Amino acid sequence: MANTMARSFLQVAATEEVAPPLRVVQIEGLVILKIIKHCKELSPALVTGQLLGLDVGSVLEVTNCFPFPIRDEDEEIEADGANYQLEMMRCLREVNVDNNTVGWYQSTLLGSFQTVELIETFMNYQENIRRCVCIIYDPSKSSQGVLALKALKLSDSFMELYRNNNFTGEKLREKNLSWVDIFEEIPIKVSNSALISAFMTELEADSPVTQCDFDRLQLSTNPFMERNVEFLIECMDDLSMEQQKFQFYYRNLSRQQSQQQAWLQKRRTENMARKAAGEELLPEEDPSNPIFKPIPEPSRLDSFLITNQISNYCNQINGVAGQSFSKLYLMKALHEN
Amino acid sequence: MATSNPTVLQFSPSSTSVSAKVHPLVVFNICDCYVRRPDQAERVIGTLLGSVLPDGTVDIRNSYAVPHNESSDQVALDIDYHHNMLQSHLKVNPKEVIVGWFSTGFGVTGGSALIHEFYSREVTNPVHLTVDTGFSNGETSIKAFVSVSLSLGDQQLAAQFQEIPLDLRMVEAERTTMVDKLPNDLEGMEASMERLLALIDDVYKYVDDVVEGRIAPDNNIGRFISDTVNSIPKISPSAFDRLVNDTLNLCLLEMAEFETAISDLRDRERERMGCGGNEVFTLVITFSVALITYKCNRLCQCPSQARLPISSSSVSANGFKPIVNIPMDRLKTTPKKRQILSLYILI
Repeated sequence: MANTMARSFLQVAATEEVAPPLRVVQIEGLVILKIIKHCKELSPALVTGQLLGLDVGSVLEVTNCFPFPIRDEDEEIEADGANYQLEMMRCLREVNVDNNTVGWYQSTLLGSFQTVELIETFMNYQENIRRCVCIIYDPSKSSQGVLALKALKLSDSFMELYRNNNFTGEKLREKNLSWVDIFEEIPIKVSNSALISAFMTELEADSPVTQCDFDRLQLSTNPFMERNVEFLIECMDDLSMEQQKFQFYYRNLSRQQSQQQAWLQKRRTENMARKAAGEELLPEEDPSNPIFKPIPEPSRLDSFLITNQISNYCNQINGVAGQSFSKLYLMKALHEN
Repeated sequence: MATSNPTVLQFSPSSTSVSAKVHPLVVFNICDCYVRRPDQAERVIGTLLGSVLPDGTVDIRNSYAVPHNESSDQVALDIDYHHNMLQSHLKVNPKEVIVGWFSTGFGVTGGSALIHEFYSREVTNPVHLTVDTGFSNGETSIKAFVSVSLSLGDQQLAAQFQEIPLDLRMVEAERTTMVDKLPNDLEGMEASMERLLALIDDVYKYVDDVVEGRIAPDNNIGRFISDTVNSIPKISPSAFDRLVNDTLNLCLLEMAEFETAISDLRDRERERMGCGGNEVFTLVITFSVALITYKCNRLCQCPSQARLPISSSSVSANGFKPIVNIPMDRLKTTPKKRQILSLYILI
């Protein structure tokens, strides 16, 4: 164990210069169960926890995790939380668990996770560890027989922009960054130790159908769909708000530009007159004039995130609708017979 | 000589009618701890967390390993560690308390009594779970015990471990961890449907065999099958057609709508970037298109005649839950809702 760890650290050290891109997140079954348990028990409250594991080349192994207690606003309790984290990591190290933070997990409701907070947390983690991943689990989707686990990271180009806090249209164009490029989803691979696999094979019930199949074949998907559409409508509202902000900004901008033009025109005719009269010319720029003060451009981050959410809801609705199709045809066939 | 102080030989507690339930996470965690045990250690032990259900069943939901040292005649347990870890776990989930302890290995060994005594001080009547990680019998054995102490008066003589029934609920583990790759929506659906079809085929074949006298009929199975068939509600063909078509249209509409919305958003984002185009206007167009699609669909009532290659029997096997669960009342309201949505966006 120690041997392989040492080797992997060596490898990491050796490849520090050319860090290979993260390809796969390999999760232990134990971690998945822990995440599910934590998220489900405290649902509908949204919870988080820390992921521990190893960073091996282009694979990030998540070998253990522990939950965070639900956070309070109280500062004292926050300090308590930090203590808890240290204590937990120390304890886990004593029983030989990899004590290397590789990211965090959090639960979400219908995939509404793309928020500024997530990005902030990610940036915080990223400062301390080079490679970090966020695992999102959606307990509401499990009732449909889907394991809604997602591994996400922020794209490099987005992080660079975020560090400079620069979300003007010009910068975005320069980087050619659009809303699809904010988050990168990394494929998840589930792995189990040989011992666990052996146990599971033996213990697994020998039934041809599982609970999962029942859930999947459930015909009533409408509540899920309706909630999705509700969220979608909310997002649309938000988006149009953002849009109004932009329109306001552009209206102001064009008004300012026409004012500038008018002022310039006036100055020029004045200068012509002065030239004719042989007087000294006035400068064509006047920084003290308020109409030359640049109007701050609103950040596009919010609208990007909302767009991301919308696309997320659309995908979910799409998926559910697709499933309903199959189910309906199946139902129809059953009924005709 | 009369004994003034009658000493009685007795077992305490006398009744042990408890059973235990184990969450798969516990088994996973124990296996993981065993894999990560220190070099010289032969077994790992640790604390079990959970709760006692009202009916006396011990529900074991969580666990953590506790470092320990074992020699032939004594056992040293890291009690500090145990308490620290317990504090941490209570912070996250105050409802989970100590219910017992686990150890790897087959059955109960000598040192177990000592550890069990320690846990008896933490909780009354702890459960001892053993997980045989060595497969010493060639098969898995996960067992739960409670201890009954044999005492003479106030003096304790011995402890006896009694095995109690254990319920392994593996639903969740089955659901998640035995796959290499997480299936997406449709892949999972396909797998489920294939299994359903196979089941129906099986039953069909069984019924045929019985009818043709190749297999002796079994009344129980027959009743099961007829129950399942009866559980499909009777809906008149026209009503059912309408139901199916309505839902189909709904799905079609939603897919069309959101496909266009997505591709539209994507395109626009690329060309617009920075020039603040009129997004709302484009959305209006998108959704009107979708609305028109929807209307067309409703008008032609596209008779969806695709069939699945399915055998002509509509039964499913033993204990299969009827899948018919169409919420009729919902269906009636939703199309209206859809239009409201579209209108909403039009405004």
